[in-house]
Amino acid sequence: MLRTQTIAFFLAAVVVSALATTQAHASQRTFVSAAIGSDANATIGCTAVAPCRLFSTAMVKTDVGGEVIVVDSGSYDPVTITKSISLIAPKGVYAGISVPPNKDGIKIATPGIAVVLRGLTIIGQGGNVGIALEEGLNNRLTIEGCAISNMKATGIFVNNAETIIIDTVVRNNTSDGVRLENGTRATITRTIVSQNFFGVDVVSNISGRTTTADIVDSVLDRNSDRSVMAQSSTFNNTIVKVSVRDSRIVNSGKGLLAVNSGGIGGGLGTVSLSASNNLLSNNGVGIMGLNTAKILASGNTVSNNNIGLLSFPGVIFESAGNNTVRNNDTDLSGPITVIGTR
Amino acid sequence: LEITMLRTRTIAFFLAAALVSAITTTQAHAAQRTFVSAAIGNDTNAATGCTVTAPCRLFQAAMAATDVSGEVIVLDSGEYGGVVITHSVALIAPAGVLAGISILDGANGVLIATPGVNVVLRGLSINGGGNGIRMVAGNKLTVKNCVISNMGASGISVTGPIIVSVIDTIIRDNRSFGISLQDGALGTITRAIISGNTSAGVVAQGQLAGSTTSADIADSIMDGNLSGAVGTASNATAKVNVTIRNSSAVRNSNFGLAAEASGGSSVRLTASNNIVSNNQVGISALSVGTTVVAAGNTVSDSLVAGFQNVAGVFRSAGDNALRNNATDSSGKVTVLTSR
Repeated sequence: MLRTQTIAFFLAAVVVSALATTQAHASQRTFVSAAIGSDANATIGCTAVAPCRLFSTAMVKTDVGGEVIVVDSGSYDPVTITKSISLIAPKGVYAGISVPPNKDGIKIATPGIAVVLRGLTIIGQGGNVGIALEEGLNNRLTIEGCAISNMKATGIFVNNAETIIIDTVVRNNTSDGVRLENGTRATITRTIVSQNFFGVDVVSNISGRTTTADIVDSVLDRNSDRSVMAQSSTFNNTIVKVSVRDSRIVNSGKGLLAVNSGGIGGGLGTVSLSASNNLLSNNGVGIMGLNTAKILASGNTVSNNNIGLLSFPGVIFESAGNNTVRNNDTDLSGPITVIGTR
Repeated sequence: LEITMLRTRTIAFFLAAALVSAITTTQAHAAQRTFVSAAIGNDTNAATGCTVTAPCRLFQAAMAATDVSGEVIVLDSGEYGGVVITHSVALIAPAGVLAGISILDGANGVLIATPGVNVVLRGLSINGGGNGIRMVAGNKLTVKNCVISNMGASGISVTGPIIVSVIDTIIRDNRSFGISLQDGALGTITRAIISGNTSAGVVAQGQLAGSTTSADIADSIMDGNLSGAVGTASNATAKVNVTIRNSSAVRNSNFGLAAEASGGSSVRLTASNNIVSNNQVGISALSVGTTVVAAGNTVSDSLVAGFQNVAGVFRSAGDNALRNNATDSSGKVTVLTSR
């Protein structure tokens, strides 16, 4: 008995000691430096005076909910994030992440975590996705002041997570600039989405999922196929809600597109798009609705497009009656109902 | 007479000289501008005044060595510790430097409880602990370019007749309010991002008799909070005024914007040119004593109602775009004539 207890005590002591050792150098805030950082400093906790070199090393040494701070400008590493954490490059510090083929820049696939990315520059050099959040469950992703460009596939991809994108540039990606899927609820503010094939796609194709995006004060420019798409597709009861306000949507194939292509599974989902106080110019089509999408346009200036407002049969396309639609090759096509303001 | 004059002048001269010397001695180690550094700072340098070449380590030590209305400058990125501010001062981290204040227990990041002080906080990153910034006495608080996140209580909490400016600041994921202005606090909030707070993003609360509390919010985002911005009062002689313009109140789980009054109090909320989308209720006058005015807003995709008047007064300028809500407008809404 006594021996067992003694052994148990020793084991407990060892466990406690091991825990203490493991946590001794995890801290609320860790540091990385391209100039003087070394991952050997992980043993003393990636401190401000003895920083680490790589995000992935510093992340391990950072508390849940803590921050990894970039001390000086340079190249840093692609990283798979596995706990709630912030990666932060303060203004005046350039933290570049080059993404090689078959890799993603920042990857998040752990459920229930909140990730903040501030001030990072993510550049594809054959890499697939700049920031990828795969099928989230209670995940939050905040992207502030980042630049994501030249990815082989998508700039920012989010599946089923709360998402905030602000003061960010998403440019020249081969497929989507931003793709928000299946339960993602996003706010996009003061962001430039430019020169992608698709600008911002907001999509539901899993039954019962609601995907939303509120886009404000942003520039959507030169996205070849479309700048913003709200799309419910394929399955029953998928809901997509998008609002766009005080933004410039220019030089794209379609400016704003709402399409409800549900029905293959038997029923239709719902897609609604509110566009207010935007400038839509020099696009193929300014605002376009397909199938049974619902669109409300208020206070927009729609000019110099091939077609200003385009409504296909089945679409409920309503105008508050205060849009300026002029100088398009065709101003209006299809039925548009003026409902007024209130 | 001349001798008397001379003697008086001499005495006056000596007194003046003594006074100058006394002032010089007092200020020997206080300076208009002091410095802190995580890389090379040491609080023993407080004895020589936390200079740029021999900086201190923590805000608390440097503040004590700084003149009234002086500045504490952060030289390099790192952790600078919580601080209790007892005289007028500015704590400044320039762009390119991250000045962290991490609080591991329930304490406040920055606490101000000294009457008459003016405090400026620029470029700080505050997380963990109780309130990010708590002010219960003083004249003015200016918060610029800060990030306040993951606090156990509110991001910024101000009680009493204090003028508050919050500019270019991010306040996210705090477990109470984003910004709480209470009992006479007068807040101007500009270009703020207020996200994911467990209670309201911005609340102006009047509980004190005779107090007028206000929040003027412009060019800001309030998303993913319990509610976006709320004015609430509970004392018969308390007034609360909230204005929100050119802002987004989106994805909040209760109200985008709401006014609530009880006990005979009065709450006014004016919302113009905002986007109010994907909330449960867009804009609401919840109770007797509330007056809501809405002009030029886009209100869409509310799960329950876009405009909602439960028991107050709800006036519209007649130029709101209101569509694709479960119910666009619920309760009595009076359309005003524009003028």
